[in-house]
Amino acid sequence: MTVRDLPSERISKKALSVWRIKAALEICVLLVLVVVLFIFTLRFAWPLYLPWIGVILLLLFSFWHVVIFPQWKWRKWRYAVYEKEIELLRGIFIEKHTVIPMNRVQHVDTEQGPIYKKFGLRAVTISTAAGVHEIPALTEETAQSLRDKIATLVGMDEEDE
Amino acid sequence: MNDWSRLPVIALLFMFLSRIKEFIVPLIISLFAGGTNPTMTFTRWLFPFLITILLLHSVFYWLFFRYRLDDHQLIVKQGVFIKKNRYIKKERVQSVDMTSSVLHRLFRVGKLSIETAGGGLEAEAVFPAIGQGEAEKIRRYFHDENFLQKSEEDGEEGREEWTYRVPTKNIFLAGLTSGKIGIVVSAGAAFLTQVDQFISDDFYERTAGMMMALGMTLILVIALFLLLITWLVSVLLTVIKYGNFTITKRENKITITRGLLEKRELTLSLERITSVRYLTHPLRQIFGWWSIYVDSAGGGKEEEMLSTLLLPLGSKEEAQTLMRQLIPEATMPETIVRLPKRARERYIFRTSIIPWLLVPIAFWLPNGYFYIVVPFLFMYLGYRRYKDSGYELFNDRAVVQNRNFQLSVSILPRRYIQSMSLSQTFFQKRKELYTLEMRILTSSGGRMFRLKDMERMSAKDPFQWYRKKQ
Repeated sequence: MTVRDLPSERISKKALSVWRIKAALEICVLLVLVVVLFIFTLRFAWPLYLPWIGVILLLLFSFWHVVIFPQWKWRKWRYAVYEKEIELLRGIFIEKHTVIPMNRVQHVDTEQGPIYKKFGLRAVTISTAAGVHEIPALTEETAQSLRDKIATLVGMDEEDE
Repeated sequence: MNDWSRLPVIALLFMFLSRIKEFIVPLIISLFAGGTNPTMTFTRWLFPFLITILLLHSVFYWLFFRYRLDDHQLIVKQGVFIKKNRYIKKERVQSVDMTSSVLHRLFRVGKLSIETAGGGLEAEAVFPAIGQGEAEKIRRYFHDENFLQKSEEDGEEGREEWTYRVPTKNIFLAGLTSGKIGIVVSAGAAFLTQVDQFISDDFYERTAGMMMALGMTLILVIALFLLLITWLVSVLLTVIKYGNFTITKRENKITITRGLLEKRELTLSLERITSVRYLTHPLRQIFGWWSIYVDSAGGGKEEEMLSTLLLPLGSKEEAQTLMRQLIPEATMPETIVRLPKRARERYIFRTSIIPWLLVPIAFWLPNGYFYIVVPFLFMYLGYRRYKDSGYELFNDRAVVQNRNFQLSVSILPRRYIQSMSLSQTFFQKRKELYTLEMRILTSSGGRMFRLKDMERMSAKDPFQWYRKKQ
């Protein structure tokens, strides 16, 4: 039996912008914590290096969280839709490869939150009886055609049996 | 067959009792409110008023409760203010469960619950009390393809039936070796170490003096005696709960009957079983005893982790004989593919890392140096976990074997595996090891079966096996 290649389709490059916006929002929350730390330091005359350590850590983390991590995550995300199954491949530290046979798919949806909408993106969710799998950040056309393709393949697969 | 049926009048009592149980807190509050304020007429009438409302509600509930069996479905009409009509299609039913408490049995009725796929924790339809004959009719309606046609001939006598009664000895042994005793002892010990903070010194002075006089031996004897009592009680409870455990197979349905006081009768269809698990723990393993649990897409009790107990305890041979009759393809495999050597350190590391990290803290405590044994015990557990883990792929089913503290062998039919994943952490990648995950539908939603640190071999590759044309 031949070993099949790993899935090759990439998700939209715009995913990067979306993930970075989300990451930046998370950084804002941490920023508030650092500001609070500054206020406390001034008020209770704590050593001034404490908040500065906070600032440096925050900068390092932001660089990782906003710049590097999304890029890496995007590069790792792959999917493929074959006639008989859907395959997903993702993860940086834990690389996870999933196979979902067509005849286990119960329904396919596309989803769009406010940020996705701004960028014209959609996520495709694939539901089986035992859980939901998501392909994030596809362009609207890709998402719709993918959903239709899966729906058709699922229908055909059922006629087979 | 087409007219509406009602529950027997005695069902009223059970409906009323369950209402009282639901409203027990307001009822007690109203009772006390009436008792302490004799001047206030309003609070005094609150309790009788509540009771009457509940009683009236039960009466109307009973009056409006109707059901009917037609060609394809069971229709249940219920509700006083909000009418609910429930249509339960024959083919969607996962299990029919009849529980008869002592009170139920007094009136020769039982509580019947019908579970459908993906229903979650709540049953699709519940009959609070129904006569044995009617229950049997509903059971046969769901579990006999041509029941309606056959009913005129009053069933066939010659149909094949196979029965296995779990020997009482096994149930007794299940109680003796159940984990309950361990929980009781450790909870008691934990309690005793904490309780001394709350006892006054004065009490200590007096009792300690007495204890000294009695001597250490007597204290030990008392402790052992208490231990023995709790053990016996737990054995007794197990025997009462699982006594008379009988499994009957009729065509492709099994009926599990159990219980000495509260009787439970559960019918489920064999092809709906989404996984079979053989379980044992170190103590039982010494004697080679196993228990079997099955999962289906609906039903199952919370206390059994939403699975259904199929065999409380039996030798490996008994377990195998039983499964050969029920689901021959789900017998325990003779051999499995073990994990590669390079997985061993990872298992030991994972299991013992937290106990090792706690070592510095332990040294702060009085007598803390005894703690040093603990990480080593966990290292041994990690080694056992490595030794006992493995998998096997057969044509139509996968087997995953692993251990937390209990050893479990899970049989997963391929057609019920909803999705499969192989994942690798950074460290696994360096050692070319994978974590295998398979998702199965159970009544709690999806259950994940996981095997850590397996090797991918072209001869037995999970993905190739799973992708094969089904």
